[in-house]
Amino acid sequence: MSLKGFGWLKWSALAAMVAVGGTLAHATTGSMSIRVGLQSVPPDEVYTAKDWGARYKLKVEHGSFSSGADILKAFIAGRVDIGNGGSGRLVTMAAQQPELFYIVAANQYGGDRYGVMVAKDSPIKTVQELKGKKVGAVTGSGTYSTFRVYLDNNGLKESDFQIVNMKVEDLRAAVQQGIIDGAVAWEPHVAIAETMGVVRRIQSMAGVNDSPNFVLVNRKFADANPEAVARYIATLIDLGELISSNPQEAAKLAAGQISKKGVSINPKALELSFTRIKMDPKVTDALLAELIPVAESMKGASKIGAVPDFKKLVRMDFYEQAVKLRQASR
Amino acid sequence: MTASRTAGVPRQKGGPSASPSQIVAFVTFMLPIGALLLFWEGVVRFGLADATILPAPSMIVVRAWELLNPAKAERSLLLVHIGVSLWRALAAFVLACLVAIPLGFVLGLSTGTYRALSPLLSLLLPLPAVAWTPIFLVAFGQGDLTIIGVCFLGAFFPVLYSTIQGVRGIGVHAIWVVQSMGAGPLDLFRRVLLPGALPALISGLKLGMAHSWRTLVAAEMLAALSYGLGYMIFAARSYMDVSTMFVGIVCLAVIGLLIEHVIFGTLEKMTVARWHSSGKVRGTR
Repeated sequence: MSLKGFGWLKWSALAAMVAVGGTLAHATTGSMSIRVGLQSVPPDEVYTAKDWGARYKLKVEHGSFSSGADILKAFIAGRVDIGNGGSGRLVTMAAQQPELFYIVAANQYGGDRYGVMVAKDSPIKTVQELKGKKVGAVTGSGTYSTFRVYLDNNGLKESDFQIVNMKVEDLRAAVQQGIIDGAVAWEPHVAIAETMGVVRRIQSMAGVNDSPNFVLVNRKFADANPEAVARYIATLIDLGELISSNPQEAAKLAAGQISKKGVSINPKALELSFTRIKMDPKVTDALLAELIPVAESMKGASKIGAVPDFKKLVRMDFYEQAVKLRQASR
Repeated sequence: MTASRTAGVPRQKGGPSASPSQIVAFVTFMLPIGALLLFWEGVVRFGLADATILPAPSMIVVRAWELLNPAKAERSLLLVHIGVSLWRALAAFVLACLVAIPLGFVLGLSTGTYRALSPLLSLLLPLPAVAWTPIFLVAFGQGDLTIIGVCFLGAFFPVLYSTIQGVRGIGVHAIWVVQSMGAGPLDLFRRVLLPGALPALISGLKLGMAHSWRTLVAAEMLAALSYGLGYMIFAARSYMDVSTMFVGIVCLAVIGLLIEHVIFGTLEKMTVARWHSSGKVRGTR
């Protein structure tokens, strides 16, 4: 069949192709934006210090929050499109509002970012030697849960110690002043205190578990803006690569960013801290599996009704797309 | 309380230069503070306190100088933090005054309205303003709106109650006398109500500003996104930068003191002290 006499059809088809092509081109190369909730933690400081989205034509609007809980509040309220949170809060959200979000990436993780510290001059060299003594910790935190697993693995019990619940920022001074004999804390607090020369880390929680934080994206946003999510994850891969391969440079960036708030920090402390944090955003089965015991424990405490199916919440396609984007932008 | 009052030296009408008694009063006021600073410095220098927990005053001054960045004042982080905090506290205070003072006059003059609203005010008054922060955070999120809203509540009640008390303290006879002389509502307000209520009102303003300033720190710690002295202290605590924490605390104390002495001291001198000493305002009951 000839198209003669159907010139209008030819031109319409051409116009439609241009329109579709333009839209696709915009989707892959055009600029887009995303609102991200960040905390005052070193990896987020590195993220804030540099325009990581520029490489992917992504405008990242940073929202600064004082805690992970505040990020998730803002996330639920729709004030940020992307946030990250520890396992406890993630399990609660997965049990109560699974339709709200996807898990699209892992954030910082690794047992080495948790450690037990004692005063510099303390004769104590092992966790065993802390038996019967006062140990400061933020009970209810991921760090403390990991510490409990460590105790189980090593034939110890919580009741072997006098656990003192404290704010993480206060642990260093309490150890230093002898108010407590040891403390379980997370990075960068351990590294900062070590670099100040006032404490010794006697035990890392490396190998106990990874206690991952995950990156959550609002479902509606992800469904409407899949390219923006992929680009954002590409920036996270870049960030993780810098922190792993060049912690010194990452520490400089973070220290510079922190100094903009009027706070002075030794970059060496941040560098040490970065060597203890894993930052690969790929969500693995092993990382997801760590949510199960947390969920079971919360179910046992009647905090949630049932253990959520976390795999159903994971969207790996964004990560895969992000990997392709990185390769394409090289 | 002003320096001269603190020292028990009578207030004198002074020109632009400080009189000897004012200098003596200032020295007397500063002496205990100086002694405390010297003792503190000595305690740290002689190793009786750990500088990583309690930095010496000299270390705090050095850190403050770094943050002040006098060579490039336009890039002074400390000034930015102070400016933002002052702006928030003053905005909240001014808003509180704009609402509380007229409302205070209405409630002070109208017994019926006072009775109707009194239970509500009594219920809200004991609530610390900071307790509202989580509610404001949920409603407005982090940022100036929440901080100013919480500080507004901190300043509102002291100003309102003082205004009510000031107005209620004015005797009805004084009002009748002025009215019988043909004074209109504006004259009544200008010549009787305002001067009569002013001593209590200024006390309320002082308390309101002090509450606003105190509430600000806690609100900024919880709700500030970037700047402010409370935010700076909170951020410094997160990274164990104790000297910067102390810089923030010292700034809060000094600015609080200056607000009370310079702003309210001047206001008091220009109004209450002058009017009462000139006999324009006397016992009105």
